[in-house]
Amino acid sequence: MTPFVNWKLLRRTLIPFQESYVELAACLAVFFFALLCSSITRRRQFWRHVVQAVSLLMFFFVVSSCLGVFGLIRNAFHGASLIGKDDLNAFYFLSMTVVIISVSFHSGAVFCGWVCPTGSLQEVVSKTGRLLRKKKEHIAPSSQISLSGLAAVTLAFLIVVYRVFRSRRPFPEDSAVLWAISLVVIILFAVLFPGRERALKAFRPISLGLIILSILFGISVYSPVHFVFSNVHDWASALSTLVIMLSGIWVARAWCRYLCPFGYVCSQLNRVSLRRLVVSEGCARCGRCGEACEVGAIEKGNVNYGACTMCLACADACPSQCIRYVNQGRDSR
Amino acid sequence: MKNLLARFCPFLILMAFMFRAGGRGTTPLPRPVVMHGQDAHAAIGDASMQTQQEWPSFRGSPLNDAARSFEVSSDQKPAEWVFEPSPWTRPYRPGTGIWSSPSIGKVGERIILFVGSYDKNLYAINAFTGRELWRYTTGGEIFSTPALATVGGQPLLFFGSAERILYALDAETGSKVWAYQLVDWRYTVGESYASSPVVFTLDGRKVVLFCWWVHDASFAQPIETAEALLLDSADGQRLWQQPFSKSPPSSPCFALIDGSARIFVSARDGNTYCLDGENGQLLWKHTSRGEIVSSPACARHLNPPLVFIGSRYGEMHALDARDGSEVWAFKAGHWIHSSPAVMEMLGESFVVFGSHDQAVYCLNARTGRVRWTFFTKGDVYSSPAVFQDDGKILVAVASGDDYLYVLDASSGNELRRYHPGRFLWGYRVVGDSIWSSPIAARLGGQWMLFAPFYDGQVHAFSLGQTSDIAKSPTLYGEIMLVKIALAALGTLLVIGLLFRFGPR
Repeated sequence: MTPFVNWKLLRRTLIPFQESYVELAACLAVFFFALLCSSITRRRQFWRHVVQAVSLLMFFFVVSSCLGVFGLIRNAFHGASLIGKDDLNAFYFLSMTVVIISVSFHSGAVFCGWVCPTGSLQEVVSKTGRLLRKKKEHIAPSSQISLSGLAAVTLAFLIVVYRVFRSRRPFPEDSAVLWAISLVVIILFAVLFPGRERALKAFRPISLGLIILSILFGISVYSPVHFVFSNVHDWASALSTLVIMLSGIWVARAWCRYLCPFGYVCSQLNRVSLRRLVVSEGCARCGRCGEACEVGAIEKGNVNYGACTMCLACADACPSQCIRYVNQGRDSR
Repeated sequence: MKNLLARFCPFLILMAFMFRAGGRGTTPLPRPVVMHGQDAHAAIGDASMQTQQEWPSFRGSPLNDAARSFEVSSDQKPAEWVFEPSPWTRPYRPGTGIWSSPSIGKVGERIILFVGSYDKNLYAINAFTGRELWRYTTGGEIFSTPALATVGGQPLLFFGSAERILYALDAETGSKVWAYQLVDWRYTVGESYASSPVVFTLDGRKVVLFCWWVHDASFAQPIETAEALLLDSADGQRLWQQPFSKSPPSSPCFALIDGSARIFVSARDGNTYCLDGENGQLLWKHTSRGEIVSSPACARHLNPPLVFIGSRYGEMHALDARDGSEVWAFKAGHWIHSSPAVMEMLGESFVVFGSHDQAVYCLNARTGRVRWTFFTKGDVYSSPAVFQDDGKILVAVASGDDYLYVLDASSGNELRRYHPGRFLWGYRVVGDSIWSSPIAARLGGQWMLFAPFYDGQVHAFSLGQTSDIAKSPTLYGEIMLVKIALAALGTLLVIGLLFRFGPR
């Protein structure tokens, strides 16, 4: 029997099936809240954390459908295949992906920076890690303590995996563990070679390609955060979720930086979105924006749109207010 | 203009899609046509809904026990056999099956196993020898478990085919008695999903109920509908037809609750419906938190009478059959595709089912408390068969680890296991398809298990002697570590390539 308890608060249906679109409505409400708060310029980061907290609570206690980063892609393919056959289920499987992509077309990767619960969890851990280190760097230095800690976590992870898995057959859900170990290896290289950050970030399109291939070939590949948000009571998902959270100690938002395929899709839309980051000519190249950015998407006023999560921390940290989040359509008039 | 497009297009698409999802299913279907029925038999009122000779529903009874005991006059002993219809294999496509779940019955002096196939044939196989007696070819795949009932002294077999036609065949010869076309053919109409029928007696005549789903992707007249259809079993005349969902339904379960005919059926939309057997009117509906693939079981001997249904949210629900209120719910670790079976043991009722978390569960039917759990090494996709051998209650269930298990129902201990074969195609998407479930039958004092398996063959196993099997050690922990090592090596390789050729 599963050793996990059911933490979803509401026993009655919240799935967006027939006559009940409550789950989708709740998600849309969080997006609306995020879009509203992103337009505020005063104490914007405080409001972002409020949105993140609300989002975490909602995903943890209310949402029950598969909203893992792989699940969103897999569901979209599955939902598209049901159009015209079973529109109700097609709507169910496509709705969340369509909403996120639509919002990304409008406001960039706001989902990643404001709503995504996986990102929020990592951010909490990485902020705690930086407080403990008493340093501002988003990537931990390659000191002996840092590397020993990483080795200890990896060893503990392997021991738990061995103990848990020796009594059960490998199962498709277990693929989450493989993503977790890949992340550990990438973090090791990110800590050892901080100058090769851009090369490591090229993992995300590879990750997306792997997911699409697995969907096309019918291979079940599961996302590590299944456990928390989809209520899948599975050891593999639980362990990999833990690894992703702990990874924030060494690299802030490591999963978002290096492996998240859906984050890659959303951030690519930053280049064409209606609202986007614009750096005006008065930038003093002070580097404050780079210090504020959790994912290393901006450095001295140069924005890497393909990596940006649109958290707007850079805009709020800029002393000369040169970085602005503007509506291209309205401001171009 | 570009900005306007960027602003509105995604929302317009979403709104159009919501409109499409909400607006379907109201278009009336083309009028059903009763096709040339052969001899119209006078309907008779059989007092009992089922006998040991018949197989009236998906798993043989409302309790889903899927077992029969036949008395045989001759001294013939059943043989273990393998039935393979043809040497060729059709290509794999997601969601396909190979066999329907089988049914078994006594037709004349012969015990016959009936099973539908993805090769569009319905096979009648001699249960003793495995020899094909006859086959009936339709225009579509047959995944509906054939229901066997005696109507007017003639043994009839009822099933549906994906070609949108429901059939009644003479079970002895395989000749068509009547056929019922669900919708007229059009270029845009898709294959239908016909559930396993259920045969019961209503107002003194034997009737057959089908739940079916069909879609038509026509832009002008789109159709997505799941309907319940009650036909006179003798001549295929329609008695009533009632739409109840837009998603593919499970197989229905019939039971008399407080003297009234009740039909319980679930659908992929996550709902379990209770329909009035007299007219098909919806009496109550229970909404689960996930899709429902499994078929309900009804234990009307309990107080209150309970309906059991598992969902792809991983929950097993026990519902009050009278009003649909939830009595208890049990959360398994993964999807439940398996239809629950109810059994009586030690003065208590228990419900047995499998889950994709690799386990077989036995719960107290009244309270939902776990009596035992048995872990296989694969997704337990099949519905269990429950039968009694030599005073001992046994459970037979097939798992995605390619084994068919026989368990002791009181302790959950493994007594025997069979290895019918491996998956017919190179790979299998877990949870994508509904594979067939085994049934048990006692022939001439010998229990046999009949398992149409995903290796493309129908297997008949003799139960023989059963005894507890000691668990063998496994290397799954080591296998997982090897996988982790390979994943780490793969990551290292990609990092090496990215450092060498990637952006700086």
